[in-house]
Amino acid sequence: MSRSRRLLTWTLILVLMAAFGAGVNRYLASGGTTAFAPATKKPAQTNVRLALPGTVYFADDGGLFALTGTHITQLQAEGGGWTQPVLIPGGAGLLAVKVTANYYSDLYELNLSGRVESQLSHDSGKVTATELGADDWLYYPAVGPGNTLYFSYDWPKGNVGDPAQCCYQVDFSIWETTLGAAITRANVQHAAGITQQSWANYYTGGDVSPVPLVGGGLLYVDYEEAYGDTGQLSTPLAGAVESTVVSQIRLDPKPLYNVAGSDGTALTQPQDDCAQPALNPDETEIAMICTPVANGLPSSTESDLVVASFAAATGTLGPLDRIITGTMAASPTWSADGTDLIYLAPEAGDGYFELWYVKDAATSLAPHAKQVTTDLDLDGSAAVWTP
Amino acid sequence: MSLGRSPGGSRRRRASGFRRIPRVRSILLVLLGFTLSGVVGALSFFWPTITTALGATGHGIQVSAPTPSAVPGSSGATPTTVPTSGSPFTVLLMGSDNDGKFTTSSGAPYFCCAQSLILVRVDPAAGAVTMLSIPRDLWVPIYSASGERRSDGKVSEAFGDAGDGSSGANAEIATIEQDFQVTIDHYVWIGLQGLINLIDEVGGIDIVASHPVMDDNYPYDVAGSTNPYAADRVAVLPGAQHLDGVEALQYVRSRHDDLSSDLGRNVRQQQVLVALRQKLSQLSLGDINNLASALSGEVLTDVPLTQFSLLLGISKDVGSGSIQHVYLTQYSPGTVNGQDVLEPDMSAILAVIHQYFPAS
Repeated sequence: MSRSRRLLTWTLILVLMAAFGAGVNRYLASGGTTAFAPATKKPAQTNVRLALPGTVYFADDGGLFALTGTHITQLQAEGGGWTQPVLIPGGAGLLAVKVTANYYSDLYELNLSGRVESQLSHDSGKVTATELGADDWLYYPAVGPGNTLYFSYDWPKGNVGDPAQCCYQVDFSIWETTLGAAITRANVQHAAGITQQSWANYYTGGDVSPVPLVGGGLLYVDYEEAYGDTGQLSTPLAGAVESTVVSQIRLDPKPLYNVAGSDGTALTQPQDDCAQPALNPDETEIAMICTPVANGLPSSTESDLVVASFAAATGTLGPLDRIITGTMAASPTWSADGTDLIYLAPEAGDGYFELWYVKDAATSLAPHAKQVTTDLDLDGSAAVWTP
Repeated sequence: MSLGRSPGGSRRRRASGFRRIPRVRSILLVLLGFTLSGVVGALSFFWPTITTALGATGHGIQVSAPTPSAVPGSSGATPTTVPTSGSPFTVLLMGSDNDGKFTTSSGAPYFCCAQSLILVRVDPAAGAVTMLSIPRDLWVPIYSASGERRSDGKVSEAFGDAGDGSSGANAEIATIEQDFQVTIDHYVWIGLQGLINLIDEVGGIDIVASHPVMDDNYPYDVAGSTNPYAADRVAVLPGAQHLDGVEALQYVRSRHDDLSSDLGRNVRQQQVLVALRQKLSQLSLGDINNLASALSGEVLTDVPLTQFSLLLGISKDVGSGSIQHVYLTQYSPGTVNGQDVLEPDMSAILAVIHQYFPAS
């Protein structure tokens, strides 16, 4: 090899070395090794592992989506504050909550394509920027027989509505009106076509998740105080003096409607810490989320998917069957035929919430969950599953 | 006398010597060159991380020995102990304001208290982690970093009394070591904005909230707020929640509508830490630079740079099911000088501490 050729070869090698060093730098800078950046995709871009029958409407990152088969359609764009879609009976459309972050939320009616048809509530009440107590939260819409609309509303509240509980009390109570009636604080406050159905326990978060029964009556979740030293819960540690907040699913039967302070009948026990009830269409099964309680405190890292038989006529709940445990389950929804369930739980490994499916949830001796979506990061509310 | 080397002959020898490099040596030389080039490329990428790490670490614990009979005014320092592989060690996690939004009567920035105090004991051999939250309003003797007993106060106030972050951390460690008879091997302090940045950097965290967290008077004092007394509304609903940094801070910091008060906050703080750990367990090399940028100026620790990956690696070997959550509740509400405080039952508290944080 001639000298000039060798010189050229070594020069080329040196250039390649420099390029390699720059390449390493650029590769690291490009994010090619990052674990966090590409963690999730937009729903309309993700792969769906399992085709479910019918259509599932769900909220994600402030947007509304419809899953049919393995195809996801965007109904409202992400970042819009949309959450908690529910179906108007008869499948005429959807109700959904739109959140204006850190201030208030309102209820809207949409058609099944996601177009807003009407705004049903007007919960921004503040005149000045600092008048935060004048705004209201409305969540958990549910439509019952006769187009009766139920929802949770943070009224009365201590800083403006209930001087006896001044000044930090902000809890949900459940209210009732007719679908289409105007919902404003003034109408709520003066009972103008709107009726209070539950009375929140102060400083607990209150009452949420109303589920109307076909024959009258209302299931709902009641958050309440449980003391460590009253025997309701085991004492967290010797000498414990603190109380904690737990949830119970209650049934407010028709005769108790509109009775101030009525709590209805507790279907679950404080130590079961059950919430997020979903009633199957023939009202024979309730799916719910129950949190294991140990040493007097609900777990902060585990929540179980539970199914129990229900007799609406007698208002009795069967034994709790914990069909999915050891994960963080949330937001169960029954299929239209009342046999299968979908719910939210983290994907193994990355912790992002995905949609999962359980076939024959109430009858299977060994319920097995299958993951439906991937690469999403679902949050907030239960889905709607239509035929 | 000429050596008889013509320029051409010299060139020939050089060329000849050049040619005589053995092939194996040439290959090794080339490989070494590529390796060095790659290392330089990587180092230049990680330079921000290195500078941030150098700024955040090395703030060694310098407090008096944790004995009840510590001599007031003693300046004896406990050398920072690096845990040997397999031996249990204890880390104090502190979270607090760090933006000096309040000022003293002289106008100097006033660094408030450590809003969150969590002792973490890692036992690598057993694959176990214990997290114990100390209520911030416990009324206890406050010590300076030098072990001098100053006065009684809320346990969280030791941090602010010292005046700045590093001294504050040492004073907080001294106070907890003295009052709770526990040995702290390391500490990590993070500011409010640092927690927000960290959670945003990992893409947010995912939790199941067990009950509504509502607040109409949440302090709006980060994320661009210029009014330290501004308020915001918070509503975190029960169920699956994906929280970004600001939302996660709201979730762990809100207390006004929670009858569990500090206990409720402590539970939520540990819950967020476990969720954050879940995300950090996916940490890869390429994320480190962005994490360092996110935490720049917002974190202090005495964990040596060389040991940080070891500590993180050890923790990753422990599943979330192996994490034991402990909350101190052995106190009664009281009032001291017009302040709402928690008056501790120290004998009961020490029994818990000794159970979960035995002397090594």
